[in-house]
Amino acid sequence: MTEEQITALNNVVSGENAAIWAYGFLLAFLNDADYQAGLSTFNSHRNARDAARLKLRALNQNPPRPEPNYDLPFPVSEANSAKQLAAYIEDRLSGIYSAWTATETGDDKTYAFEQAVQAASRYYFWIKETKAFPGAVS
Amino acid sequence: MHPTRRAILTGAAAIPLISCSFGQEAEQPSQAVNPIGNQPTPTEKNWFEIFIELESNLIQSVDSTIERSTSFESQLREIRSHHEAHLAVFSNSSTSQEVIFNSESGIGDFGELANLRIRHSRSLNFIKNSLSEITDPLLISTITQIAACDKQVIDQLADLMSQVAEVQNPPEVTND
Repeated sequence: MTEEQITALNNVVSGENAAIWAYGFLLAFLNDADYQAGLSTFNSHRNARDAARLKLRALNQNPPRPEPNYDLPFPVSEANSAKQLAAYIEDRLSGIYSAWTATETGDDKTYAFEQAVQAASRYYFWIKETKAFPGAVS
Repeated sequence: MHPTRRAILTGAAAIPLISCSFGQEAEQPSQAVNPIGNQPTPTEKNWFEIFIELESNLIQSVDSTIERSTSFESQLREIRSHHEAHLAVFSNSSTSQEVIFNSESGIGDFGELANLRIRHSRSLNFIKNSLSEITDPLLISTITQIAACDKQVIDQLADLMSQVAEVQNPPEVTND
């Protein structure tokens, strides 16, 4: 396991920790039609975080703990801005998983790739927009 | 809103979501970066040629759909611009000229969109299958993002197909 792989995996855990917090927050603003999708995604992120934590533990690494609090990138006060936040989270996660894909081999490479693609798909689900390079930070 | 959530929002110890959990390590190359670099290795060059062909074909397919389809032109043009951006990463130049297809498929908007969706699915699967053979980290990260874009386009095309289907087959209204 290289230093790059461990760094990328740590970023995945940190990103999923933030996503779990963010979904826990934004769920309160989603309307009924989107609530189940939000809840399901919240659970998916928790599972993904746990899976990444286990990988780090198996490497005798201490996974990063969730922060006690997070600042929002923009104000969220109703359903539309909540969906914007969900899309923001998914886009950033797509980039994090793309970075992890680049460091991995074998099954983990495929898993990271699929997570990057799924995050991009959820980005579209929330705001019905597409990007040429999901997850890219300009 | 739950009071705890409100407290979290106003808490002084709040940590920026962007700086804390999505650090610099996660940054991806911008689309202006050409992963070929100045001197690509022969293996890299081979993959770049493959992806140039893949993206060029997708641009042609989208152009063909724009020519034959009567709806969703703005969405289709945006999809094409995505592929032009992908192409620019590999070739440092985008294909801006429109490719005109005169042949009429006669399959209608739904069929055109379905064909385009299949092509994007093939592109995504091709990238997934090529992952095991590519070792350059920057190239892997770039094509993963392209595959992620393909998935968004697949989802969008499915939505557009649903819209076409609803227009062609509106739900029956009953008086029950």
